[in-house]
Amino acid sequence: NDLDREPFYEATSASVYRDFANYKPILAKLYAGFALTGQQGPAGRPDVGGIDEGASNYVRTYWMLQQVPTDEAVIAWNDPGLPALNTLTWSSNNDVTTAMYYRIFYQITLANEFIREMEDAKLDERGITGANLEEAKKFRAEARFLRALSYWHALDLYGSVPFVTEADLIGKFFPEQASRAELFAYVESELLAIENELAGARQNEYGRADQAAAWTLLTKLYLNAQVYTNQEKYTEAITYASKVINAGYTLEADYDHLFMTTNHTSNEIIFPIAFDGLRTQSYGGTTFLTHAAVGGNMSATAFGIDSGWGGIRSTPSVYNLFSSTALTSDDRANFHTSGQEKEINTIATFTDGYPITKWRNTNPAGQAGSNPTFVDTDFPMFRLADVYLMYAEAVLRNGSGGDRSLALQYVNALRTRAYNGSTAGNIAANQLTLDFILDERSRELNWEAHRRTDLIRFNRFTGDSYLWAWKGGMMEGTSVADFRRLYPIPANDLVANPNLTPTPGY
Amino acid sequence: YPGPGPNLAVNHTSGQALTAKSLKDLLNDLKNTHGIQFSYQASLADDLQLIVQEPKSGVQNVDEFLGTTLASNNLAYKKVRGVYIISKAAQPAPATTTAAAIPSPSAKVRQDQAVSGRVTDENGSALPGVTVVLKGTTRGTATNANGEFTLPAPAEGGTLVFSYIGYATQEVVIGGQTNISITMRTDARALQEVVVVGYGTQERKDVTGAVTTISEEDFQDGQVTTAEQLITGKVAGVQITSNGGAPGAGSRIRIRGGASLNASNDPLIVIDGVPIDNQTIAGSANPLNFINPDDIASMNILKDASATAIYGSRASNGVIIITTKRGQTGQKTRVNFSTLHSLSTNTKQVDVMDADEFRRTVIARGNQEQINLLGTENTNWQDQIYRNAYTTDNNVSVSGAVKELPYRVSLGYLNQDGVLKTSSFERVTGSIKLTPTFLDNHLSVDVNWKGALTNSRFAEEGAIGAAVGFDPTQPVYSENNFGGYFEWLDPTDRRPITIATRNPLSMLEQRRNEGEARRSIGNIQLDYKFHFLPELRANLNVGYDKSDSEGNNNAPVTLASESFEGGSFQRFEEKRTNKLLDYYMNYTNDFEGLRSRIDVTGGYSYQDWVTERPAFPLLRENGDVRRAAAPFPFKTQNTLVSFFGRVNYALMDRYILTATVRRDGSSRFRDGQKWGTFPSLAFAWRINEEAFLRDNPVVSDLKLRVGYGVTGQQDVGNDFPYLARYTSSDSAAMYQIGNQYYLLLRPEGYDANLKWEETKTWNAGIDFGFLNNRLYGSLDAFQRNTKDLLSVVPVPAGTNLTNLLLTNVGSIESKGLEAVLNYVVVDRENFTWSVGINGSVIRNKITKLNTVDEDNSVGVPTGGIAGATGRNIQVHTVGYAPNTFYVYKQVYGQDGRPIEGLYADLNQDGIINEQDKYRYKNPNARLFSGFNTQLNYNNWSLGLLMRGNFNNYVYNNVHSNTGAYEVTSVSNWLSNMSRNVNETGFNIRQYESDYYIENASFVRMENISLGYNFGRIMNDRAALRLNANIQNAFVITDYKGLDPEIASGIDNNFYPRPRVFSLGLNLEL
Amino acid sequence: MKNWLNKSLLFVVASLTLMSCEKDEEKLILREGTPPMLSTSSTNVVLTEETAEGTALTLSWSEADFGFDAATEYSLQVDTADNNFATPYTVSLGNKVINRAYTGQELNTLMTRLKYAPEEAHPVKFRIRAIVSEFVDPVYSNPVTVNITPYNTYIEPTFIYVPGDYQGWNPGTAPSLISVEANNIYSGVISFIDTKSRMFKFTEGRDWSVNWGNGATAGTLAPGGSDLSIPLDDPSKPAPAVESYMITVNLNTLTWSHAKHSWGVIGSATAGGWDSDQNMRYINEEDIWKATLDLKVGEIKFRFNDGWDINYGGSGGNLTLGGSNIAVPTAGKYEITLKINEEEGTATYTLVKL
Repeated sequence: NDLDREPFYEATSASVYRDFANYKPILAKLYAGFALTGQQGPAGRPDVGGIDEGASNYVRTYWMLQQVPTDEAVIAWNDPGLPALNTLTWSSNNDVTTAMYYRIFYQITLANEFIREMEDAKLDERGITGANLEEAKKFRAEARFLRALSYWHALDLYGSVPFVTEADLIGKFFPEQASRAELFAYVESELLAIENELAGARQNEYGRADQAAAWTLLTKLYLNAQVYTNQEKYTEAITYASKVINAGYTLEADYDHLFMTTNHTSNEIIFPIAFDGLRTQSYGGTTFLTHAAVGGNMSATAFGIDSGWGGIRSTPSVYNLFSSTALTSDDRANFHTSGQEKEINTIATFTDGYPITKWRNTNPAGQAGSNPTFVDTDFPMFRLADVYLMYAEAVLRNGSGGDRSLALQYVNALRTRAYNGSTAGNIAANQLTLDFILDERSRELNWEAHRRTDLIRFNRFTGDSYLWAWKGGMMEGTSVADFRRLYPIPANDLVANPNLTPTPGY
Repeated sequence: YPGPGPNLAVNHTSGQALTAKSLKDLLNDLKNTHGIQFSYQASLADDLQLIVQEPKSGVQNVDEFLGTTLASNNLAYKKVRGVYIISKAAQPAPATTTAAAIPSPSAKVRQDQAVSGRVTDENGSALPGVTVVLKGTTRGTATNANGEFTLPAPAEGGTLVFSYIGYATQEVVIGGQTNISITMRTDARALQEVVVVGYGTQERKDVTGAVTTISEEDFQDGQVTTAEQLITGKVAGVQITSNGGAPGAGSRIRIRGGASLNASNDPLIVIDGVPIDNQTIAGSANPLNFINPDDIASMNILKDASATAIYGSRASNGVIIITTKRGQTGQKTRVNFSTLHSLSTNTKQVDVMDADEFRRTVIARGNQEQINLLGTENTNWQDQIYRNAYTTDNNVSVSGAVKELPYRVSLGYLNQDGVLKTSSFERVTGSIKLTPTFLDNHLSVDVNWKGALTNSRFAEEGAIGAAVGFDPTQPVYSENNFGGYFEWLDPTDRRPITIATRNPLSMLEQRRNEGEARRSIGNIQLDYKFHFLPELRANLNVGYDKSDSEGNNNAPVTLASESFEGGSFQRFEEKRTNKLLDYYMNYTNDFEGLRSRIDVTGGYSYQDWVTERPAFPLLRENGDVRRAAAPFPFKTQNTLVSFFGRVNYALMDRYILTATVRRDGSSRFRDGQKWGTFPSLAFAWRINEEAFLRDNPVVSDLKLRVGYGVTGQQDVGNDFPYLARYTSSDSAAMYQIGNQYYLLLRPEGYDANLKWEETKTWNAGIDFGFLNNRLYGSLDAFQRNTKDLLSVVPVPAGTNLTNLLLTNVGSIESKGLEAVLNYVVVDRENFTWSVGINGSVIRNKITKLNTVDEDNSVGVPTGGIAGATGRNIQVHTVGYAPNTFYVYKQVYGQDGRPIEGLYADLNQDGIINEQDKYRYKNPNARLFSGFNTQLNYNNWSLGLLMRGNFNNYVYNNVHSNTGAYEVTSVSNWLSNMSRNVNETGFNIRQYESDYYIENASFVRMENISLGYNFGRIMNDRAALRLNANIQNAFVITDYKGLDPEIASGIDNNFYPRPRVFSLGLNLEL
Repeated sequence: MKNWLNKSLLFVVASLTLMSCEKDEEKLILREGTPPMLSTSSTNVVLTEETAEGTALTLSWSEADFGFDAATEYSLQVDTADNNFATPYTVSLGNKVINRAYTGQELNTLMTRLKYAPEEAHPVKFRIRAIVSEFVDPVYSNPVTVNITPYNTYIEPTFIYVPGDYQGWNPGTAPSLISVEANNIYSGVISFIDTKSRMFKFTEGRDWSVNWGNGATAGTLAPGGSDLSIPLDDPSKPAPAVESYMITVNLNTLTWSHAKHSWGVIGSATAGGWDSDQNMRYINEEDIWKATLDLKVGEIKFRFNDGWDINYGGSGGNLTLGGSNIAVPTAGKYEITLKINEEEGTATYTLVKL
């Protein structure tokens, strides 16, 4: 019948799963969802439509939402949605919050599709056995991990969102909304369920998630449980942080190397998002982070790129976290000050505020990456230093099963590394306070997309207990209403799905 | 039958038998002996007796026989596609002689002298069959195949009246001459008798739908490169907007504004029975590039559903049927040569600062670093990239008949340079048309072949914007590694600054983006009239439409933008194949007893399209692979199978009913959704045939039409939108796992239940003609509702593998009025003047856009603009026209100037954010109209064509993007500003202010043409015409940008439409 | 008939060509703004600590009118009655707000910030500034004068004392630690002398009646506990002549801690040359560092905690961080003082030849 045409080269869901060799490329697409924006590098054939493709990259928008509204960053550009992030005045039509939301749900739907196709019965039906079957089950566990990761992003950023699992087939329907606590419980149960199906820590291929990735995510979930569900779970946070810490990861000897093109060799990174200048090209991820922080009199060549995009800088509050001694001896004080003003008089002027120079497209020898536009450096989604600090914080927040002296030892390990092996920067037991942890997290993890969550956990994001430049739209900073702790479900989805109720306050 | 009875006293040569026969019998005889189809008005009484010369050996040449026979009886015929249409010859004026002078049948007429002569048309060709009557008498004859006549005339002289269908009647005083030769002029008022409709033809009087026919004599003059330009501004309800001034660039054709939101709004185009592929072919700018306009005889535009529904699922946006020229049986060989030479020149430049003003501005507002960057030159960059361009267009055609084989062959050569340097278009076309008949005229064959070869060089149009933005104080050339063109370089490493404006001339001259395309369209149509039942015909049409194209888009490493990557060399190839088979049966008969005529058609159609594109790698200049080719080539196929039927029923020649139905099956949908049925029904009432109007001296034509139909749309640009496909990524979108990089497999979003978009159309119209059709026209009103729109809309998050899904959702409504009026102001022998005007008013509105009923959403953003990442300026919203602008409401100061960044807080919450945007105007004209006039004086002719659009709005993206002093925000390069900044004084660009939405109403003088006809020259061996033209002579508008006519409504560095001066010559041998 | 046709046709053509090409709706034109009208809930406000929680003054005003729906930003401007807003203090109140209620505490904080003396009535002028755009002049409301009497918010600091071996175990003359906010957390610098042990205790007053010594574990305190001490950095080496520590005591949690906090004199004019410095003593009651040294002709600088990270140089009695060396033109015995003003970030010194 001539009316039954089939694609010539493209597979369909009916044919693609017959061949086990296709499973990995489909799984790879799930991982790539964080790094790439579509099936054509750097742009074209996007995964998410109706929005600028490059600007809506997963890591890039996640970074925007976690950093730009905080004291760690402002962005000069006038792109749709960005100015409101600087000043915490976004609405439910904001382009960036909308982009992130759809990226998250794209990942979740993609994972659902794959998990559905990896059901035991289906694998059996296709005659997948032996080593392939083992591998397929690992694939499935990893897809569940990635789905949990995106759901965690959703519950952290938006609170209560629509809920779909592999039980929901592709089509047009109206998903129900799950509360933040329900989502918390779901993510927790998923991670616990797959804990023993994932490859052991550090046993998987580069780029794939292993047990330690799941443990790290559990730690993050538990550490923030008070925010998410009003219940403390610091003891659990300590349990899972310890598992990661004892899994054989080691700190990278030189802090700066964590953000260079060779960082895929680091034994500190627990879960990376991989980029490559030739093969993994997008306008998001580390390509964005490297270019956007270069401007003014900075030499693009020194960063291994063709030219800067003059966008992001830090506010004075972050610079002030380093004492004058630390500015010269702490490896993590990566501020470019020449030709820049410390104060930010005008957000749109790149030379107001100090850019942070940690992201680079060079190797430790200073040689540029494989492509001057697209950066080779991988993005460390989870790394050991973060887990050390989470452990210390959970201990200080009186979780049980931890040890204060260990906590101190971990924090000092980071400081010794930061001071190039010298203990000059180490702290004493009585200096290890929660406030110190918050500051140290910024010193260690700035511009790695953690800050908003941290400030919320410490109750400093909204209200007026802590002000920084342009918070609330005032140069000196002003109080911001508490509903801004959550981003709004986009107006688009409220219209498309009548089952949703708007995020409170919007 | 009004007027005197037939003259039985015509003189005749002895030896020939004269018989009296009724017209009907005569035609029946011919029908039976020669299998010829006739058509005649009922008003020619059935019992009309004719005087017929019986040839001894039976009729050999039907045309000649009919010509003489009918002419002598005050009748005339015209042959259209094998059908002889018989009508009254123009009526002789009532006799002024007294009753006594009326010759009695037995009286002999005194023959004092014979007047003879030759009648030719405007091209100097002989006109056979022209009626020549001695005024005031019933004496007459007709011209023979060579256009010659002889008529006995009284010695005292008199006046000869020459008349012929489609030509203006002429009177010549004999005044003692014995040789009178005249040229007949086409009659602008002539109504075409035959209308080409889908799968057949209809007589104009039987047409029930909204159909406009434009034939050769009404086509645009001057440099016409592509077919649609022939009818620009000529047809009410049809908007043809060229996509800009690039040579060979296409046009956006909208019949009644388009019925879809995301699916294609292009009409279906059928050429000689082959629906052609409407997609742009790689390596060419326009799908209609491949037809030589010089080969086209007529274009029929089917506008409403009752006319188009026979094309079912492709008919929602109207149908254009193109018929090409053909040879005639018995015609002498005719050679036609034409050549046209044109000069294109720009009319206007974007108003940017000149070097001195720019220098002053930077010195006044810039910092020291920027001031240091200023150069010392005075460069007008727009002068650098534009030129005056030359075009030559040459055509030669030969038509005639070899024995019983009518043929026409033609060859065309066009070479057109664009006003933007490095843009050019070259085309060679050929066509062959053979229309033989066999089996005693029972089998007619129509063979068509059209071939074209085009070579295009596409200029880098980014240069247009670069020329606007480039610093006028810098030189064009300088010593460097970038081809010797001045570029903004990084002061430290001397590499181009990636975000700076590039040298526009370098962009043009260093890039070679060229495409060559070959396309041929061929078909053979067999039409067989059954021997035992001539009322029944079988028609088979087999055709193809194939194209092959290839090209390269190459830029060397010295082109600044490619210098980081070692140059860019990209090859492309494409092959498209479109196969067609149509088969239908037609039965036509008159049932005299019932005073009814019936015409029934039923058929089957199969069409299949395949497109293939091999994958090529992107290379560097040194041949290294810069990006690997896609893992496999692109190939796609789509098939349409259809059944169709039509019934035409006419009662008393006054009440006409047409019903059609088509059932289409498409491979683009899943089983269960493949088939769609598209019916239509229409009714016409020819009021002027009613007794109370039949003899009215004022009303010459009056017809009322009402129609309703359902049509569909399935052209979504993807052949498998309903399938759960997995597609592979390309080599720059791989992901690392372990030490391997993997290509990615992605499940595409899909709607398994996708189906046809459905449009219901109502149409009511009236056609009228007054004063012997000196004033004629029509009026149509329509309403169109499309539901189950194939639209791309946000789907609930988490439900599909995309956030924007192509699905059937929402509806759109349009309403409109169209009017056409033509008037012959002066009608004298050596001076005629006619004017025509048409206008249309159309309103479009989205009535539903979502699965959810209560929809108060912003809608779907669209209309990306230049300047800021990902910014859209338009939106589709329920309750508004598609593509309505979505902007902030600007506040102005007392001095009338906009205040930077000051907008109304429309939702009054104290914050200015996205929620304060409002919907303001849209790009579609509320009224568009055309006006044309034609003056003929002796051998001179002058024509004007004007078009106007009213209340169409345009977003001036050139102003919004270059109209601010933002020079101060960059440190190592400068960019020029539009002088609009002097008006706004903006420091920062305000992209979303409604200030930039301008009313772009305009009136354009589309064409002024002047012609001189030398008539026969070289001892009557040839005919010569000369003509001169100005196209796009001027535009009257308040719009501040370059050109107010921007189809998308977003004016961003548009390729300017040049003014074109042409001189041409037409020679016929 | 023909005439009529010609005319009507011309009319149609003409009307089409002459159709207006202007935008067909009203432009929003910014009007000279109608200023807000300000009124206050009272014109005489006496603030007291007891009523600090309640509303003390409410300002209300009408919206400014600029002739369109504006997102107007309102700010409060405050100035003294006779200054006529020449140098007003301005605080933004937000967009589109039309009133602001001040609690007693807020108003008092405002008055304190504007340095109005407490416990006295001051006529203060208020007005509202309305701004729609940086490109448009602001408009101001009518001024309203309110008499405001702020209350005193100064908190009396509290002290504890550090008697020890270094000063002869005498609470009567012992240096003190201060709690600036009177919140039971005390801190201060204590200088020990080499000839003495580094034993000490904390007393509540200038007697032994309430005192604290060692608690159960290191770093904790207990009432009447055993003597506290700060061990030497390097017990194998002799104690330095002077060594100073910042001591912090938290009586809420009964814990204490110490950190090296020592300024020294270094340079070619000193005995240690540029290699080692001579520690100074902290004089608690004067908040000043002192040393009495024999100096050669040469140069000196001050440095902190035996390192160069923080050091002062300068001339003419004024010091800057990392400043130039201070010349010592003549040799002899000198009394050297160093005073550091933490708030201002400045420091001064004196060199007095004895």
